[in-house]
Amino acid sequence: MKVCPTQATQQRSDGIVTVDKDLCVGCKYCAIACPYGARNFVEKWTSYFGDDQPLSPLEEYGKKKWIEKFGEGTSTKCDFCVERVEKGLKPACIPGCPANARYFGDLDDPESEVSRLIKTERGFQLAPEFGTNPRVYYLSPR
Amino acid sequence: MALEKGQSVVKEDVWIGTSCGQCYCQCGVRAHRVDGVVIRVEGNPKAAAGQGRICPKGVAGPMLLYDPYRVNYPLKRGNPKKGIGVDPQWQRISWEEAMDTIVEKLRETYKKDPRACLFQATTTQTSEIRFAVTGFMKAFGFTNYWVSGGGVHCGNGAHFMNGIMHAAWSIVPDFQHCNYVLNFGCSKGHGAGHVAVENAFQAADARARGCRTVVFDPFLSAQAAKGHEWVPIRVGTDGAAALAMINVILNELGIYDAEYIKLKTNGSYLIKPDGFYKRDPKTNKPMIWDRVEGKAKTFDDPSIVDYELLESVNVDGETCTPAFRLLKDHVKSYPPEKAEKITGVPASTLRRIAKEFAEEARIGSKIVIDGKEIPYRPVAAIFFRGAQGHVNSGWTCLSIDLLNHIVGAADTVGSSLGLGPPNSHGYPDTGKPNTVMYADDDGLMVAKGWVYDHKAYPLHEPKAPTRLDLHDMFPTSIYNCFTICSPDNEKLWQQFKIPYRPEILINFGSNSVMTNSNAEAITENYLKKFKFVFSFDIYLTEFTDAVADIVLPDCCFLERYTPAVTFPSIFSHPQGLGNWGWQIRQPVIEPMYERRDFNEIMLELAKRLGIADKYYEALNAAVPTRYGGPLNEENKLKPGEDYTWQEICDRLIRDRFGPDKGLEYAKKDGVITWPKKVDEIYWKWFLNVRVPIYFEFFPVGREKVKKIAEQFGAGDMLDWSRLKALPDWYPCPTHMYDGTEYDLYPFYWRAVMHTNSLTMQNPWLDEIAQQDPYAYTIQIHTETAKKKGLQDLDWVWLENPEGHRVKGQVRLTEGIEPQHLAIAACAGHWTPFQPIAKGKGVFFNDLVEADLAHTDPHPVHAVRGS
Repeated sequence: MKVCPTQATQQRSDGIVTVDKDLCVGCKYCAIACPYGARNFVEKWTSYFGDDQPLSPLEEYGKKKWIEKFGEGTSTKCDFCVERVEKGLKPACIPGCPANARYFGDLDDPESEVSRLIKTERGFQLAPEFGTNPRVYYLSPR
Repeated sequence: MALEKGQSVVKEDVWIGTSCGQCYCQCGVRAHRVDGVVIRVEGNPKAAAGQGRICPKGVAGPMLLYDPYRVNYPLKRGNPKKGIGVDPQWQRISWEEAMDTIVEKLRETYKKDPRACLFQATTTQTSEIRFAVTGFMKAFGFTNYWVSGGGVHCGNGAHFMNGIMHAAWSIVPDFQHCNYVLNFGCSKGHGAGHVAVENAFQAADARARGCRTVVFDPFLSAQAAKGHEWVPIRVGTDGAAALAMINVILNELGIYDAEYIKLKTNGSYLIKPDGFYKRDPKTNKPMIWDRVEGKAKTFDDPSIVDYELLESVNVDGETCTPAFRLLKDHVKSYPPEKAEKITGVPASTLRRIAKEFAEEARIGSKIVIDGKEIPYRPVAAIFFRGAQGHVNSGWTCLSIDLLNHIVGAADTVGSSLGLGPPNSHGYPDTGKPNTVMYADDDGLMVAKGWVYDHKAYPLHEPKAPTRLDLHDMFPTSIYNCFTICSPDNEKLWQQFKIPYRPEILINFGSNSVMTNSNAEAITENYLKKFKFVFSFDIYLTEFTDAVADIVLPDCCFLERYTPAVTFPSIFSHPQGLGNWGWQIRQPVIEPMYERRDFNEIMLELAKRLGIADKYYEALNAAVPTRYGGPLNEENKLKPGEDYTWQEICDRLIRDRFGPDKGLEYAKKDGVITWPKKVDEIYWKWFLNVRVPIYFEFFPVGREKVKKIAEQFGAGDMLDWSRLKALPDWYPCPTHMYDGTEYDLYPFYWRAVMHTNSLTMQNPWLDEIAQQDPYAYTIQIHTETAKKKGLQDLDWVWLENPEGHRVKGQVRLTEGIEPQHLAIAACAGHWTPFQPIAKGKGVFFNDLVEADLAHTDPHPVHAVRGS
């Protein structure tokens, strides 16, 4: 957030960090500064089957959705599928995991499932020495 | 809703329930279609298979649907030359021209000798195979059949033995109750294998509950990495480790489940000095010794007080020994110290694990579930590819499974369970699909049709061969490939007086040039011998490029109807408590371009050839065994009628679920569900059937097959002695190599993001495979690499003693036994028509030899080298 010259990177009141695609100028400072390698710079949406193939209807759809959300020439990161969260859904990786290894919830609520699991399963953050207080916790192996 | 500028109005937004077809697990899925475009596939929460979860392969389904490299029009070969590396010069033709040519060729062969056809199919689309392949083969009149998964990718020995011991295709721990899982070279519960997604969920829960996992594997597989203990083992020696552990349990610890062995196995059956059962002269039934009354009785005599298991007795002047005692003595030839030399696993480790396993089995304990008190044996010894992908695979799998049976841990709570389950009482309204195992005259369990071609017991009666692969003569064979891919096949056909030669090969989605063995050998020795090859495909493959004359653009799994996907229940149902689910496939989008469904085309061919009535008859006949119970008269396909494929689908579903529950009903959710019952799942103590721990019927089969072979002057074609009553470990040809030049054992494993040779063309799956350090590389131990002067990502050639070689990049790792090389998946495509797949990964199968010298003499199938 600090290195972003245009304030495209913002933290919402619920803690989720987002990138405003219209403000991002693609300077990549954030990608260099991020201690977690979580930032990806996407210069241009590229097709899956090569430029000599016309886009399939699925790719057309995917491209439209991508550009709507992330734009091109911008920096991207996981934003917990914020558009799903706003609809009351969980991020796509939560129901997508076959082993139910991922959880999503409210860290501010000490009674929430995630807060409870962090306590009982020895949850930890990656690279706490950077003082970023990331909202992703890992549970210790049992 | 206020529209933003440029936003379009969504006219259509639907979810369609169907079944995944990216691998044989066939999870229930639902596809999201928006304005005619399938934008997403996700798990169907209503389906028992997956329960709303799917893996990345399933998610990537739409990329297959819309791949611009799909075959979209019928094609014919422009170049008459065939072979690997030949440009086929594909030319687009009309469906009319394609069908006319095919019908003409089939007519000629039908007149000449219909037996000269072969159907080759893929295991990825198993539910489709069961209709068109079965119907057409019977109607046309040929028995030559080959399924491409039956090559290095298949589990012939495993399925066969599981058929005998569990009436099932495969075995899986009862993750819901198991406390100790011993795994031999398989990833069940860790992303691959049968019921992959649901198993991953169940295994994760089991792990959290404290279930201990011990993994025997030459490399640190996904499962070993997650397990509590990884036991590195020399490839192809799992059987020796298992036999040594049985020896420890029976002879050093003296632990066994006597009640189970007496009542649920043939362990009490008396064996004569010649190795065969002591039979009652009046009833011909096997006899046991009642140790209380001190006399011999038939095994099912209601007056038996207690069975003798250990002492030899004299019956009618012959010394007879209980089968269990023979097994117990037999395994004494596997002391852990000897097994250590074979397997590389320290004797002390084998002893410790055997003890942990036997003690955790909690012999004698019971548990109450759903008001029923059931024996509780929370241990399971499980195997699949790694244990089975070598010579002697049947005995290897059986040796591992015997660990379960000696402690009574089979098909009861907590134990190894036959996947399926193989026991079904049917939908509450109709009682179908119904399949319940029963005992033959010897008291041993007979599976019904659930296990499909792998219906293993009783053995099929050996006959003078009529098939190109000589399958008919081998009593324990499922599919033989090496007899047909061998350079000597013409010699074998002459010797066994096969009266015809290959004419037409019909291929449904198989890429047998890559999925069997050495590509050049199978193409030159076998595939090129067919005069006409037509092939249903979604992609052009190395097979079509090498030998196909006509390629037909098939629908993929998202574009077709299939009336029964999860039944016969061999691949899809999670084990343990939960629901049954009868899934269908339905098109989530109309087939694009000129793609047409395989089943519709085969039906049309039957009609044009004038054999439709026989086709219907064959389908009617297949239903009772495969789909559990006879067809009601009104739902049978009637001669003279002109059915569409959808009408055929509708009849089967209506017959199983009731007159108002046909195809339209099933289309609503894509699945019909009902609860499983406790006695369906944990059937062991609810059914009066036994399983063998002494295989008296193998020597019986051996004598028959030997006689046939001798009749044709081929008495010495294979080492028949391995068809015997008790298991042994035998070295693979690779173990017997005594030179110094070839110093490493390469082996194959399944990467979770890929299915056989199918999925490398999928850009999403390719992308995740590229992010996996090992999916497309050769794993080599750091020390081994150092000795050879290799560094990470160096390119190498791997060569076998026969001179076949493959190229790949090495990845250095500590997670492999130093004598081994691990290669993932069936990769290494070279067809220009799959540009995403081309050049990715290593073509392991090219190192697999296809000849009699590498053929498994037994048990169980005359197939497979190592």
